[in-house]
Amino acid sequence: MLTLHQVKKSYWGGNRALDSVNLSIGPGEIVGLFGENGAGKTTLMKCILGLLRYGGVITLDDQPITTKNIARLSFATCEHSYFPALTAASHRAFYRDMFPNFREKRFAALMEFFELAMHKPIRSFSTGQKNQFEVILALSQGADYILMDEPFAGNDIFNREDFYKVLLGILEPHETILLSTHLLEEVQHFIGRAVLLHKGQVAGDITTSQLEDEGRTLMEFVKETYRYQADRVSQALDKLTGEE
Amino acid sequence: MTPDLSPLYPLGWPWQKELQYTGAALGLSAIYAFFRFVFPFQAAVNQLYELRGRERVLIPGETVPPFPQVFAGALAGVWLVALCLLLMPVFHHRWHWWGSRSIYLMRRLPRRWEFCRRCVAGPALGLAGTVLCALLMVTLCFLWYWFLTPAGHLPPDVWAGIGGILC
Repeated sequence: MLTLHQVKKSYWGGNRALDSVNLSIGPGEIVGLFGENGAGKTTLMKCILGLLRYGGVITLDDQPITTKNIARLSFATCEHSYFPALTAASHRAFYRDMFPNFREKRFAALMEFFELAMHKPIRSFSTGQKNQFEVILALSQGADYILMDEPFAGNDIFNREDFYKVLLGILEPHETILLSTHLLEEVQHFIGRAVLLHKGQVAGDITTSQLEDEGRTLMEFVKETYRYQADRVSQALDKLTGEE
Repeated sequence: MTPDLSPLYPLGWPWQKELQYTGAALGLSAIYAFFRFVFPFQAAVNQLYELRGRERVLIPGETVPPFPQVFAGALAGVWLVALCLLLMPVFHHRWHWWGSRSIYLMRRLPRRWEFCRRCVAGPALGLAGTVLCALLMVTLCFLWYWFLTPAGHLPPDVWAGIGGILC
């Protein structure tokens, strides 16, 4: 169980990115993390991984996250965390060396599925291929908790669809995904739970089965939670055209 | 055959080139050190002589300056290389921001010191080489000084002002 208790994070200048976030994510869950730009999604993930200093407590199975258990967390980010000058084969060798539970078979299968070259430097890959490789590394590390921060930014729709299907097909029951994305409608059938961040706070937390029971879509839930004003665009346009 | 020193450098870093450049810089520094020593030394030896008619004869009681004084400044190139090597960990660290954010991977490795080691170990090896090069040049030049100074014309304390070697 990944647990966040009263997690706070402020940047220089007092800009509060996370404000008393409480969240628990159990094994096997597929959680979508949603929120507007600047809501704190990336900051939250970086705090979990220990890449940022924070206030509050984050534990993994009641233990603080240290070098002893950090291998149970993996991370795929749209900023990419691979080494551009290295080949996929070199990455595999490094991961194999660093992460004792590295999933050799999964890595090979995903590389083959996405037809990625093993012996070319990653910098020679297309944007989509780079994203695919980033996610492949995160999935193959052998982690129990896989954190993904907008991993498909720049991938085409077919590519993304493929990935969702592959993900659902390969994940083992204990593997947990925390997926941050803006592609609400795309992932709503893939995730089991949606967590909404708004201005650094958890604004909503609901399972997709609850949504189904209530007969609401994920998009409706998000709009309600954010009190989205459907007519704000037309109002703004009216104002603008009225000025002219 | 070059041993695989890649584990001492950041992943993907052109470590062979760094080694080649370090080696070349040390080679040039050694050449500089040698000539920076030899010319003042030769001038000091020439001062031991006077001309009597057409013949050069040694001036009795005259000595060459102590070795550190003759050698002063010879290691400037070596220290410059050392300074560059001291700055290399900064470049190694910045490497993890070039083209991606591989820093995120390196900072979440189960091996706590892996990232630090890869930033520092290569330059530390280079620094060890630099110290060796400096010692080698000091030894070589001292032997040159010792054996090529005319007998009886060495100063009573050849190592007087030893700190001058480091300048």
